[in-house]
Amino acid sequence: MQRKVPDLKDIIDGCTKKDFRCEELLYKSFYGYVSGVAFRYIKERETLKELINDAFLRVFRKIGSFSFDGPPEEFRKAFKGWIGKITANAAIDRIRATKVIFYIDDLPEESQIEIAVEAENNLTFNDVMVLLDLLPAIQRLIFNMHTIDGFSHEEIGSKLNIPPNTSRVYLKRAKSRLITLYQADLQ
Amino acid sequence: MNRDTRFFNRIVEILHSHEDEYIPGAWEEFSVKKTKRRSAIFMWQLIGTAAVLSLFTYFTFEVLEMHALHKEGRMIKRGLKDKNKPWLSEERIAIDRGRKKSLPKQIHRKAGIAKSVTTLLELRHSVQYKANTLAMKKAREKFTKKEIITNRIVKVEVEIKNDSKHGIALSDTGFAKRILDRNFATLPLGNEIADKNKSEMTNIDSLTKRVNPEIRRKKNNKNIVYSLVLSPTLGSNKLNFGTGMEISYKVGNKLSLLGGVIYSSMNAERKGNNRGSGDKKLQDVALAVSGFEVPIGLQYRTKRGFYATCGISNMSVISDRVEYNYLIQTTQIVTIVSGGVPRDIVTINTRESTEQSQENIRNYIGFYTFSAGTERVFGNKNLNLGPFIKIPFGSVSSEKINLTQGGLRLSLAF
Repeated sequence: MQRKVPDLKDIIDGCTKKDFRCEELLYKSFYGYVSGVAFRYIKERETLKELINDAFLRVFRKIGSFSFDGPPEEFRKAFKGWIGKITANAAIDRIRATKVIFYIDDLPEESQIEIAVEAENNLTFNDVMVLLDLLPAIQRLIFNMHTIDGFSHEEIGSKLNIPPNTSRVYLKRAKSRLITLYQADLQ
Repeated sequence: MNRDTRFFNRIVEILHSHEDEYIPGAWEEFSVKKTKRRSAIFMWQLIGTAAVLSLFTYFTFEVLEMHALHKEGRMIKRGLKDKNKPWLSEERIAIDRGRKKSLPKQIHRKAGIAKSVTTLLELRHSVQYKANTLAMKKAREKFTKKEIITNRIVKVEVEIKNDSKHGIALSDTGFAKRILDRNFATLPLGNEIADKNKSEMTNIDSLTKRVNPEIRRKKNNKNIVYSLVLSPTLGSNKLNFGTGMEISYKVGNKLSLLGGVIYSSMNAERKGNNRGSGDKKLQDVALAVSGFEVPIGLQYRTKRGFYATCGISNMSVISDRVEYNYLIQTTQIVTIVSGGVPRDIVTINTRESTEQSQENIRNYIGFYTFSAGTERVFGNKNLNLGPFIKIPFGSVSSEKINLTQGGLRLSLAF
C-alpha cells in the first residue's frame, strides 16, 4: 500500500493535533530557514541553538492559530513568513533579556572599514552578513526587524522601548551606512 | 526603481532564500527539551489548580461547620425556654445571676407561706431538673466533639425566715431541712449537668470523660504519620493496581500535607471504530503503562473522622506499551462445478491481529487526584477507606487515550 506523502497543510494539521511525526517533519523541513533567521540576530553558536529550539517551541504552541486564505501556491511562503516572525520575536526577546543592545551608533572615523563588496547581482549570503556585521548593533537590529522581517516602526518601538521616530532615524542611518560601504567598493 | 531600492530588495531576497543545513541530532535534542518543558508547564498548572481546589474545599468545610455549630447553639437556647411557662426562663436567669427574683403571683396566692416556700423550692428544683435534663442531652451530643466543659458553680440559697408566721423553723420540719440540704448543693450550670444527687453527678462526670463508642480514634499527637496504601482502580473496563507508601504531615488541626511514592500500573483502551482500509479494520488501541507516582496533596479531616483530599500526582513512566488490535477479513471465492453447473462458494476468513506501536509516549504523566472517605480503627491502627478518582491532565499518545481511573483507596496508618 503506497503511503501518501503529507503536504504542508497535512503536516500543520498533524502538528495541531500534537502528532509527533508531523512535528518532526516540520522541524526538519524548516530548521534551515529558522536557523538563517536566528543567525541574523544571534551569532554565538550555543545561544543560537537555544534560540532555534525556543522558536520551534513557540511555533508548535501557536500553530493552531495559523491560518491563510490566499492562493495555495503562496501557502508555503506565508507559513515561512509566519515562522520567520516568530523566530525574530524570540530573538528580540532574548536580546532584550541579555540587555546587549547599545544605543550608541556613531562610530569614530578610524573605525569605519571599507570592504570589497560584489556587484548586487553577485552578492552572496556571506557578503550580506559581512555588510550587516559592520553596522552598529542597534542599527543592524532595526534593519533586520524592519527591512528583512517586516516589523513596523511602531512595533519596533514597543518591543525595544524606543519612540517610533527613533526607530526611523536608526533605520535611515543603517541604510545610508550600508550604501556607503557598498558604493565604496563599486567606485 | 532606483539602485538603492534594488540593492535592499536584493539583500532581502538573499536573506529570505538562505537556509542553513540541518544538523543531525537536532530533533532528538529538541524532543527532550520539549518534553521537559511540557511536563514543567503541566506540573505548575496542576499545582496551581490543586491549590485552588484545596483552598476552596477548606473554606467550604469551615463555613459548613460554623453554620452547623451556630444552628446547634440556637437549638439549645430554644430548648430551655418553655412556651407554656414563660416565667420558667425568668427563674432560670435569677438562679444564674444568684439573685432573688420576685415570685410570680400564682405562687403567693397558694395557702400558707410555708407551703408556698416549699412549693417554690420544689418548683425551682423541678425547673432546674428539667432544664438540666434537656441540657444534659445536648451535652452528651457535644461529647463526641470533645469540647472542654467549663462549669460555673452557683450556690442556690433559699431564704427561710425563722418566723412561725412567714416561714418554717429549721429545727421543726425535717422535710424543709431535706430541701434545704438539697438546695445548698452546688450546681454546675455552664453545661447543665444533673444535680439530683452526688452519685448521679459522678455518673455524669464519667459521662463527660467517656469516648463515644461509635467513633473511636487513637489519639494521634504525632505530626508525621506513615501509611501503607493500596489502591485498586478501574479504567476502561480493566482492573489496575497501585501500592506504596504515604507520609502525612499535620499543618493544622484539620489540615495535613500528603506526599509519598506509589507504584501503579494502568491499562486503558480506546475504540478504533473500525477505521482502516481494505480488509484490515482497527478494533481498539490498548495502552498499558506502569511507573512510580509521586503524589502531593492537601487533606482536610473533620472531627467525625471523615476526610477529603485533593492534589496532584506525577507518574514517572517505567514501561509502556501501545497495541493496535485489528480484525482482518479475507474473502475467498471458490468456483466448483457440481452436476455440470458452476457454483461460487464464498468463504470469509476472519482473524484478529495485534501490532505493537513503536511510539514512545511521554516519560511523565500528570494527574489530578481527588478522594474522600472515612477513618476506622483497625486493631491498634487506623484504616482510611474511601473512593478516589485520578484524572490525567491530557490524553496520552497520538491515539488520545484517556487514562482516567477511579477506584477504592485503602491506607493503613501507623
